[in-house]
Amino acid sequence: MSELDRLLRLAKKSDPVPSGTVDRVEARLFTPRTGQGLGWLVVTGAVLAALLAWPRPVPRAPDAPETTTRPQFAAQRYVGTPIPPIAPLGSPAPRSTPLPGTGPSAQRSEPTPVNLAEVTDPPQLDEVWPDPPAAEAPSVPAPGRARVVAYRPRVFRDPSAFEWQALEGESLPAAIQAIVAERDPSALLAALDPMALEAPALLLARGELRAAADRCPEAIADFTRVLSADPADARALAGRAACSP
Amino acid sequence: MAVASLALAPPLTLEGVYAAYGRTVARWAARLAGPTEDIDDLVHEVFLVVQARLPTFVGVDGLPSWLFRITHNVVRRERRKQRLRRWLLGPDPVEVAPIDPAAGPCERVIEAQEIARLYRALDRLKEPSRLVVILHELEGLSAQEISQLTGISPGTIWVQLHRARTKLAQWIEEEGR
Repeated sequence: MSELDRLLRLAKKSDPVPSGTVDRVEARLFTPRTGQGLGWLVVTGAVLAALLAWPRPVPRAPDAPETTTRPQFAAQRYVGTPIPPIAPLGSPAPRSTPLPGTGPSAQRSEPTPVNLAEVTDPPQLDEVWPDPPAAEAPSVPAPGRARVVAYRPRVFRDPSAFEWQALEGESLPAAIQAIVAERDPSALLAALDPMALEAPALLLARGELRAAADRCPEAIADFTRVLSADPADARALAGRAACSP
Repeated sequence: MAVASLALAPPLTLEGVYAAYGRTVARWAARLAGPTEDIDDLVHEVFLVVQARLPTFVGVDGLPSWLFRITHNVVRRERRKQRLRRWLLGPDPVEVAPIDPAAGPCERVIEAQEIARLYRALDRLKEPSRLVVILHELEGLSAQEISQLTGISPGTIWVQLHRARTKLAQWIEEEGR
């Protein structure tokens, strides 16, 4: 007898159906299942109740004016818990006073509704903060330069460790970036205020910071200078519209 | 095994069909599926299909072959799923009903492994050849009975049986080396 015949005979001899299969399947097929329908009803009801309780936006009336909250300026992304600026060596640390409209009490107030018809193009909030060009450095007047130097990072405050005069053109944008990184808009605005800026990126930043500080006439001047170079600049248009009375 | 031929008077009911063919369908399903499938689930699935299609079934004479086709299709579908499951998760443990109730656990394991070895070789055959070998060699049906169930002509059945046995013997011998 071959191996195949032996295996076939062995398999043939065995009963392939497990004991009780017929009875178990019969019970499954013909025994009415109570409670299953009730369970489905409960589950369906729970799902419907959850869907009805889900918060939905309130539809706006067709004749109601389209309003929204005041758009956030790109520069205001840096408004948060103010970090005290780094004080110059040997002098008391300057006290950081929050700008009007940026302090904790102002953040708790209700946002001002703005008519969207006046805002032609909303600002791009996720724009990357541009690097200030090194060409800005020579045009900084002395008081502004002193202010920036006062707020420059610690590495710039040690003359023995850093050749300040030789690298002034590179140091000034780095100092401004450091202030931005410290998330202190008041310090940044104080540094930018006395500067005679030409670069649109810095003009926009200063205009937005001034607008956030409710210094709208000066902010409009900055935005207008940007628009004179590029009449379609979205951030300048949005900033000027938000500052318009 | 002789195909059940109880007198079923129309109209056919699921209870009547199950009483007449439940055991037969369970044997077909178990033989076709092999030792690793859940026979309860397969038989249940077959009779759910029967329940759905029974209102459109006409005549009693073709009932066994109709039931066999349903069983074959259900088992084939399940084997496809199991092949995928095995490919993803590895082989299932082999379990078969004990052949000799007096046999000890060691003998049962050896017998289960031998039967699994046979089914591994059967699974390498093409589906019609596998079907013919199982029905003839394991279920003991004649070529005429297989022909009635499957619709394959008796001549083709003998040819397939001969070729399948040759291949099976070769594969089992190779595996045993």
